[in-house]
Amino acid sequence: MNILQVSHLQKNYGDHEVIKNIDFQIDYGECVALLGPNGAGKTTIIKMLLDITKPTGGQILFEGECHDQKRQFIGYLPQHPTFYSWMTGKELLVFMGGLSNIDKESLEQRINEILDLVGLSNAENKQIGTYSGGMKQRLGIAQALIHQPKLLIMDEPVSALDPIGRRDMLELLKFIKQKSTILFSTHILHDAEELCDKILILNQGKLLVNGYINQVINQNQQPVFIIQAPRVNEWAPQLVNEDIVESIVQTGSIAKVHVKNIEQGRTWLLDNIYRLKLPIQKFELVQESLEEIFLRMVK
Amino acid sequence: MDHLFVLLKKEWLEARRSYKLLWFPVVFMFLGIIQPLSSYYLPQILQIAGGLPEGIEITLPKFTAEDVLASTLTNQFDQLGLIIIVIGMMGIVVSEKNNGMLAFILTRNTRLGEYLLSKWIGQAAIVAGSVAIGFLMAIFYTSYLFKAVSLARVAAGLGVYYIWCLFILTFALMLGALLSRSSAVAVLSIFVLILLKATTPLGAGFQILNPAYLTNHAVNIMISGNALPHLLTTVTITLFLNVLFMFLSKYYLKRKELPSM
Repeated sequence: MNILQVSHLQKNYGDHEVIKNIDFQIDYGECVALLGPNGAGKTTIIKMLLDITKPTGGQILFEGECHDQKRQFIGYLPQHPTFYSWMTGKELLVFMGGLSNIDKESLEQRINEILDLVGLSNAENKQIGTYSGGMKQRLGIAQALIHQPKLLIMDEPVSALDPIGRRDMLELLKFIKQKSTILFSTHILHDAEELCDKILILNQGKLLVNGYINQVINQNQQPVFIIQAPRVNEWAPQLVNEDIVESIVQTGSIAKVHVKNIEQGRTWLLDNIYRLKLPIQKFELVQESLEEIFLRMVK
Repeated sequence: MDHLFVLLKKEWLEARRSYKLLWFPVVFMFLGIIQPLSSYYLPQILQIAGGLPEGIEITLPKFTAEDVLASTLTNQFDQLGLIIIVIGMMGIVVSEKNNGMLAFILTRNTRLGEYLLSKWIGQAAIVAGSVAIGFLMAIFYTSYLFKAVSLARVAAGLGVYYIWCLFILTFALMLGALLSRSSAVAVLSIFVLILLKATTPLGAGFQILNPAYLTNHAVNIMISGNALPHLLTTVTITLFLNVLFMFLSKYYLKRKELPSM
């Protein structure tokens, strides 16, 4: 059985279709990134998973049951965790733990463990209002993990942090990932690539890609030749050949040439370099990165 | 029920941290002291204010201790006190609803009913404590400046008045669930509650159904020791309206898509 099974999920606001018939599933132990540009519908999906927003159509099942029976096993980190500024970090964890039915004896020990894990042990008695953005985010993770959920759902956990906070958070998530199933949304592709096994690419409410990262890359990647030489504008147009070349992108002194077939493409390009006597500084065959695939897809 | 306890502990902590637990009773203590003092020192106050013009003489009524306590209720607690209660309650649901905390709490094992009940019990306790302490001050000053009063009568009257307080608070809580601005909650609550109060001097038959009329009942109990007719009906109706308001709040919030963080 899957830990999460989403089928035919739909959401309309009035006539506006925000989520258009989405299916995906998550298996135990997977780390899945929900990717997409701003406004793609990532937060809407997450809010429906948590029963904050009611779907217009479709079904969401956790281990075959609906959210109501499974609250206990989901941990949730909201996009902007504000919480109560007048509470201390520890009081918040006592509060959230209490709401999740953890008994008093084990709660105390659990709180110490979790504060240690997220690195807030020395700030546990400070009021949340005095926390920095990164600390609030880590406290958010702590409250999401306090009841040892099987599934951790996070809405943009790293997007709002500075580079150091982001690095800390990624390391923390890598550690948590070893023990839990994770679903998180992000618009930063690099984070997804670093952490996840699986990605879901969402654009304008439609699911474009659903699969393991290396599969997605293999299936969608196009070979690209990079040619670096002065005066790109003059020679690049002469490389056009409808049978062999897909597209040419010029940036600075570099031309990125997408070809249909690697062997044919290489011969065609090398012949031309020789014919035009280009003073090349670089000639390289590279694979499209995930970011380039992503950008091409959501365009 | 464990969740209710957890939520109540949070309400208590919030009341302490926001100093509500301090300023609320202090305001009511102040309201409790004003009436006995101003009644007792009225002649001196008039003199200090410049005295009466020559040729005019007035006879000031002799206040009994019961009169003073009754006016404490009608002139202080039921006017400024009512507004203070509304202002203290106006943000209790609205703020957590707007900042997404309510939606967030509900992703845990909490139910809306438990949440609303915790708000209600927490605020009802604060109001009960404040009204009681404030009135104790009034009783103390009245006994000292006038004469001792029957505590049993005063307590009974205050008990009836407290049911009206519960109505004020439940009404404000319901508007907090329905509306999304605390200023709107305050203005609308005060408007409706003052309107209910304003009809009480009319004394027509529909006062049986008017929760604001409970203050008149309370005053009568304090002064004469006897209840007016239909006291029980009005109490029952008020309590019923409280329950109804709570259910309406829950029903509305359940259907609404709450803001999230």
